[in-house]
Amino acid sequence: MKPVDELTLYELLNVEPWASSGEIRKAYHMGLATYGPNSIAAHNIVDEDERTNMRRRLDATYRTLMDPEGRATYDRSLSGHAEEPAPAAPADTTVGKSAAGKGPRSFRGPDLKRYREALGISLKSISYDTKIKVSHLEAIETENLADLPGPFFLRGFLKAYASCLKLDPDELTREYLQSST
Amino acid sequence: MAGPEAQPTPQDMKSIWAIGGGKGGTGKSFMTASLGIQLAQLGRRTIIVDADLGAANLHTCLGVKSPKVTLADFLSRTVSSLEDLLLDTSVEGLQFISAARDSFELANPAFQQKQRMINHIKRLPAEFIIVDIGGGSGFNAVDFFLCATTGIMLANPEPTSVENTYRFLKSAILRKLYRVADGRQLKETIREALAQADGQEIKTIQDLIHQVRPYNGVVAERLEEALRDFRPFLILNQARRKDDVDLGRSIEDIARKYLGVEVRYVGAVPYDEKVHYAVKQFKPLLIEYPSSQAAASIEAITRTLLGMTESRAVAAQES
Repeated sequence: MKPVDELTLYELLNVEPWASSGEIRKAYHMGLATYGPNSIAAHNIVDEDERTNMRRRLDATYRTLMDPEGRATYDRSLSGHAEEPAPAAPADTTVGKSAAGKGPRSFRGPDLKRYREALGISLKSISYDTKIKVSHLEAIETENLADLPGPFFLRGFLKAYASCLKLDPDELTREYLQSST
Repeated sequence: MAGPEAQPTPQDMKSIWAIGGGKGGTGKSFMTASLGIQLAQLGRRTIIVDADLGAANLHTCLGVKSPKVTLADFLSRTVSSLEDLLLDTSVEGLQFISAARDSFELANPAFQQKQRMINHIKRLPAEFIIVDIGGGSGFNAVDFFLCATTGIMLANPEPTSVENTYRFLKSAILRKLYRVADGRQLKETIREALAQADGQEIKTIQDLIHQVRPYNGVVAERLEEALRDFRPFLILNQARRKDDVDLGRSIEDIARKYLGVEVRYVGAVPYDEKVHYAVKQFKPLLIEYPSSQAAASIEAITRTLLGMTESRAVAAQES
């Protein structure tokens, strides 16, 4: 649980990093209502100065994320942070394809499925952790890409899926997309 | 109508849902009765317990005018087991335990009495046990809430009720934190961490943990773990407008950012005159007005809660 001043722009809006611009717009308006001067939710728990501060942060967040170039730059800066070893999830806990016989044979859907099953992780639990529907996770493993909502989302789904299996999200995403599309 | 036979259920199969939330009069007894009826109608064997000690009225929401045995008999040891207090209801698969017949002793049970009651609640023979813990943020209410497998807060979309919801959350967090770290050690660590804060503002519980971490990593880790495990649900009752319904999302957001707690908002029950009519007729809403708007939203909320509690149980087993 991070201190409120250290939240990413996505965490500030309570959206996933692959949120659509429609979802971002909706979350921004929700945030303005939450931290508005007459908000019932903020009554007696978030003071006036903090609400003003939050509304400023929400405005700046909205401007950055609704601008494709601004969002791409921000996303790059985020993944730069992710490469730094974090105490909670050190980078060396992820494994690559066939690394020391620990990873999956390849990053193709059926191999990922076999690997996941060998780890004893259910799709239901991945779905619970990532909020991605089980049907979408099944589509990833069967490489039934027509059942998925589009390449933009697929990339986000793959990264989240990789994290649940402690696999390198970038490597998995790159190879999966190269081999299955 | 006779209820199902009392067959012991393995304790690990049991779900205990506690309904609380800080403020009286938000509709906790109504919601407890409604969730119980809905679960029983979905074929899940359920017992509802009125633990709103001193202000019990669950029996009225169920249409039982004067229960023959109540918690007072258990606390005075007239009966030795909570199971002896089970009363059948008009709904198949649903039994309840009343706390009517108020007494000072019932409203203010001693610590051992409360613990004995909690232990007996956990052994009740049903798949679902729903406990109405009443209003207030005192230790009695909070302890019942924390012993449940699922804590559900009920609030109205009004400033007074929302304010008390946060008060209840803070009280539950503190109680939980004091349980995980030895009270004296925790106080000492927090005092010293605050002394080291050196003018830095401590706005939230996360800020506090952040400040405690370099000073005492073990305590910080235990506090963080206790916060992670505490994921209460929220239902809003008597929503009149869309912004009343949206309020639940705003409470989730503020609880996450400023209290460090993942509250899950599972829906709002609309304001519906049928609720008032049902109570005046001493009849449960779901029996008397099953096609009302409020009844439809209660069915949706029950199904959501069922799905979420079951997936949490699966996740807990897998981890």
